[in-house]
Formats: sequence, structure tokens, C-alpha cells
Amino acid sequence: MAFVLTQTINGVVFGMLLFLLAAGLTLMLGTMRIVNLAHGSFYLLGGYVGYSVAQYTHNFFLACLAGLLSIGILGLITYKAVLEKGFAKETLAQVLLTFGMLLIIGDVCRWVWGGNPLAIPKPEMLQGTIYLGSIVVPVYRLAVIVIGAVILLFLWWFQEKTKYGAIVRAGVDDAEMAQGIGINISLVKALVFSMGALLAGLAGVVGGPFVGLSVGLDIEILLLAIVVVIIGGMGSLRGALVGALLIGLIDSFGKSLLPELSIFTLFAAMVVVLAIRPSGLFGTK
Amino acid sequence: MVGKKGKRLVICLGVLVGLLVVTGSALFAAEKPPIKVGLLLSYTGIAPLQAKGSSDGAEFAFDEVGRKAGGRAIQVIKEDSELNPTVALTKVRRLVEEQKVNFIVGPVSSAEALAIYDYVLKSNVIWIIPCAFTRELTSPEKANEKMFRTTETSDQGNYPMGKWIMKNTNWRNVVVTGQDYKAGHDSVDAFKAGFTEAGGKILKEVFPKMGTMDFAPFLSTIDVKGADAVMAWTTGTDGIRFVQQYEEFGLKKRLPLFGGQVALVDDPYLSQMGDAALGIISQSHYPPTMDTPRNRAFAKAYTSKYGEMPSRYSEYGYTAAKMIVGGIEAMKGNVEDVSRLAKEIKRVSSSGKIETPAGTLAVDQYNQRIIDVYIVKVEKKDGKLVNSVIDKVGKVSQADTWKWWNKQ
Repeated sequence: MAFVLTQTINGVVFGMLLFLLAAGLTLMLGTMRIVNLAHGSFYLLGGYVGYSVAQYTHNFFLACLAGLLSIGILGLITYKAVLEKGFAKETLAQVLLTFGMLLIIGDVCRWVWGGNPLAIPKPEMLQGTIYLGSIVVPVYRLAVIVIGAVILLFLWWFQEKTKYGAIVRAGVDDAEMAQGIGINISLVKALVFSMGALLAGLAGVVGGPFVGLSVGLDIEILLLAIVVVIIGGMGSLRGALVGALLIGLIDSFGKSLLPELSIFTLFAAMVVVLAIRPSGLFGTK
Repeated sequence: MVGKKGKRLVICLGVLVGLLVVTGSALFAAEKPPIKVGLLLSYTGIAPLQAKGSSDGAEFAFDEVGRKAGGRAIQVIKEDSELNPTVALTKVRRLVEEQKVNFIVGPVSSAEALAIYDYVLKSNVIWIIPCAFTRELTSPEKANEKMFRTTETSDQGNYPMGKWIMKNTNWRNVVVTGQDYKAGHDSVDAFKAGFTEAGGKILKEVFPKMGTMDFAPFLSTIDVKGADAVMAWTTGTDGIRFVQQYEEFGLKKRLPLFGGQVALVDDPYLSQMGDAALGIISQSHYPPTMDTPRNRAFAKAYTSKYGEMPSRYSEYGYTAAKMIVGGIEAMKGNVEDVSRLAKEIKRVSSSGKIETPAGTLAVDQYNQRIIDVYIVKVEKKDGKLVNSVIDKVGKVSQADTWKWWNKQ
């Protein structure tokens, strides 16, 4: 019982981190059909920026803010300067462009922060461990669940309860029609892209204390985020949440029960979902 | 400021110096071209730390002798193998065929080393391996007179560590974990061999894949009833996360963690691990804080040159360069006769005359380095985490270990 509970908590923690990452990616795919392979770089770069700010100010909150804002701005620039241009209209061009960015940002990170793996120090108040009978949970991990839940609630409120959320949904469902009724779809797209990047940047800082920052992490984490988006269905926030939790739990139980097959179990889940619902669990098209 | 006359004088002097340099080097080149040393290291990839250490260490040693030996200049050519066996093979071909190097120093990973093995041994070069530590390379079947290795094999440290644990602790039932790739399995196997031969019992083996981000799922499987301690061979970023999460989940207090080799808590990673690493025991052939006059001088000069403490990887690179310099000197610069050069390198390397930061150099009949094994423990000194020596096992050659060396 303790085993199941411990692994469930672990799975949810990792799932929440993946949700932060996949929420942005799925919106990018859903609203703009942009395959953003640079999403992994956004995560890594956000983490590195957060690391430097944390080193300088010793304040985790400021680190989060810096990671999130810097990557939000980078996302906006990326969209406006690269992806919106005529040469980036085709999917293949986008894949190549964003993959190029992935490589460039990865090398810049290595140049600036060096090849040594880094870990962001945990905030003072979130250190320590909670013992619940035979279950052991580090406080910071509980905090990750809370952060994920807050972001989730905010996104849900934004998408379902506000006018702007309705505009974004309209953009997802039918961009042309939305444009027809006077919505500046180009601006909406730029902001959605920027917000997705911002969440990835935040995820980088939040994951920094327990996932760490290292060369090559951008590609590893991108792969997981893509699996989440595929399972959840493109463009669906609910799908991103369910997919992320599912992958988090499968990862957690798979690793502890069948450690040698841990990668296989993840992709097996993806294959099963695709076989039953080719558009993902909550995908529309 | 200088006056007009002064200016003219300066120009004249400049021209003179320029002429001297040009004619001087031309004469020099005409007589004896420089000896070329190719550093084939993965400057990029997931182990840049190892490459940088070995590279800096080697250059440090060449600089000590003014990049000159046996009356000839030493030219260093660097190639990045990207920690990729295919790239390593392409780059080593370039070094041999285009640059016509006399020596190859590299690579970092065993996979790269095995990939370039056939090609390098067919070529007319001396090969010194600074980091790749798979036991196969210097085994009786694969050893070669032109190939030397300055790092330990996967067995020379991990195997005696198994025996040391049995002798010096009361840990009898141990869970072992390692990264799921060659170095991880080789190291865990070596530790297991040493530990079980001495009477210890392995309760469980857990091999998370390389690049595991979250060890939480594995930690509950490591926590086996009846276990006294956990041995881990988990290095790099994975090691940082493993050590930190091991403490976070409250295991460290109940179930001591130790390393079969210092790879778990390598000095360059300690500042990232933080206090979670405190008290972890492991084994190393070269603790950079080693308190010998030779090492103190080396560490001081190295630190002031590169702005960071030497690591064991610097020591491997440094030693490789010392062997090269020793060989060139012994041949009086005539390095073109490679099989004689190989014999000379072997002779000087076993002569007891080459001093390295870790002590006097010695190699065995298969050109594998014989190392001193130190037991180290992570401690805090002046607010900084370091591996301090707590015991010395003594000299260990690969023949003192198991597998094909095993006499039983």
C-alpha cells in the first residue's frame, strides 16, 4: 500500500512538471499547427536563467519570475521574427527551423553555463521531508503539485471563463472564421505562443531542483512532452493534463516494477492510445 | 611617449626580431618538423568535463617542458569526438591521415575506444587512452604494445572496494545500482565480484537508464528489507540527481549510500550535490586534495592556470602527456620508429622516474597503469565539500582483480 501511494505521489509530481511543459506545446500545435521542437530549449534555457538568478539573489521566487519572463519574451520574439514569416508556413520548414533553434540554444547554453550539470537550490522554506507513516515525501515535491494545480486552475479559468479564452478557443476551432468576425488572429497566435514558451520556462525553473539542468536535457524532456501531447490530443488542455498525469504515473510505476523496460512502457502506452484513438484521448481532429 | 628616434629604433628592433623569428623557425622546421600529438576527446556531448580535464591536464604537462622534447617542438591538435563512436572514427582518421600525428590521446568513452580500436592499431601511431576504462581494452586478447592506458580499468578500483567494504564495515547485505550502459554494468560487476568473493551478499541489482531524470521510482525498489547499505555507480548529472534524491526521500539516514568508485561523487560535481553528498565513502586513485608535496605543487599551479582544481581526469591527461614526453626524450626526438618508441615508452613508464600527481608512474606487462587505491569520504573543509582520504588500499594492478585474471 505504501509502495502504491509513494509511486502515485511521485507520478503525479512528475506529471505536473510535464503538464507545465505540454500545456504550451499542445496550444502551439492546436492553435497554430506549429511543431515547436525548440520547446525543450525553452525549458532548459528557462532553468539556466533561473539558476543564475537564484545564484545571484538567493531567491527562488525571483528565479521563477526571471525564467518565466525571459522565456516568454524569447517565445514572442521567436514567433514574430521566425515562425510568422512566409518561409516558415510549411510544417517541414517549421520543424527544421525550430530544430535548428534547439541546437543553437543548446550550444549557447553550453557556452554560457558550461558542460557541468547544475541543480537549482531548493528554496529554504521548501526543504525537508514529510513522513506520513511509511510514506516519505520531500516537501518540495508537494510544492510542485501545488504549483501545477494553481497553473492548471488559472489556465482553466482563462480558457473557459474569460473572453480572451473564448478567442483562443475560437482560434483553435476555426481560425478563418475567427478572423472573419474581426479577431486579430495573428496577435492571438503570438500571445499564445509566448504563453506556451513562458510555461516551459517556468517548468525549467520548477524542475531545476529535482530534475537538474544539463546538456541534452532539452531533447530528453521534449520527447516526453511530445508523447504527452500525442496521448492527450493536440490542442486540448484537458488532454495535456490527463496525458501528463498518465505518463507521470506510467513512468513512476514502470520504473519501479520493470526498471529495464522503463522507456518501453512509456511508448507502449502511446502506441496503445494511438491504436484506439488516433487523434489522442481528447483530440478533436 | 617615445620620440621620433625612439620610434625608429623600435621599428628596427621589431623588424630584426621578426627576421630572427622567421629564419629561426624556418631553419628549425627544415631540420626537425614538430612532433604532433592528437587529442581526440569529446569536448562536446554529455561528458565535456572529462574531456576538458584530460585536455587541460595534457597541455599543462606539455607546457611544463615548454612544448619541446628531444630537441623537437610538440604540436597539439585537438579534435572533438562528440562522445560518439562514429564521429570518433572519422576524427581519428583525420588526425592520422591528414595531420599525420605521431600520438593519439583519447577518447573518453569505452564505446568510442572500441570503435577506433582496429583502425588505430593498424596505423603507425602510439595510442594513449586517458579515460575509457572498460576492462576489455587491456585484457590479454586485446592488449597491444602500441596502446597504453593512464586510467584504471573498471576493475582496479571497484573490485578492491568490494573487499574493503567487507573488511572495514559491517555491511554484509548490499543493494547495487548503476547506470544501464557499459561502464555502469562493468563497474557494478567488478564490485560484486570483489564483495561476494569476500563473503558479502548482493540482495538486488537495479539499473536505471542513463539520463534518468527522476530517480524517485527506483528509490523505493532499492529500499529492500534486510539491506545494510547501497552501492551506486551512477555518474555525471545522473549522479547529482541520484545523491540528492536519495537523501530527499529519507533513505540516507536508514541505509548508508556509498560508491564503488568516486565516479558517484566526483569532486567537480560536489558543489552541485550539496550536503546530500556528505559522508559518502568511495574509492579513487587520485583524490585532488591528496596531501603530498608533488600534488600540492601541481594543484596550485593547475588552479592558477585554469581557475579550477584539477580533477582525476586532469591527472589522466597529464600522465599521458608525461609518457609521451618521456618516450620522445628517450628516442632523442626520432619518434618515427613506432615499435621502438612503444618499447621506450613502456620502459620509461615502468622505470619509476616519471612522477605524476598521484605518485610514481607504473604500468604492467599489458601497458595498463598500476594504480594506488585510496578510500575517500566526502567531508566539508572550509565550507567546501571535498573527498578526503580515509584509508589507503595500496597498489592494485589489473592482474590483482577478477575475470580473466582470476587464478581461482
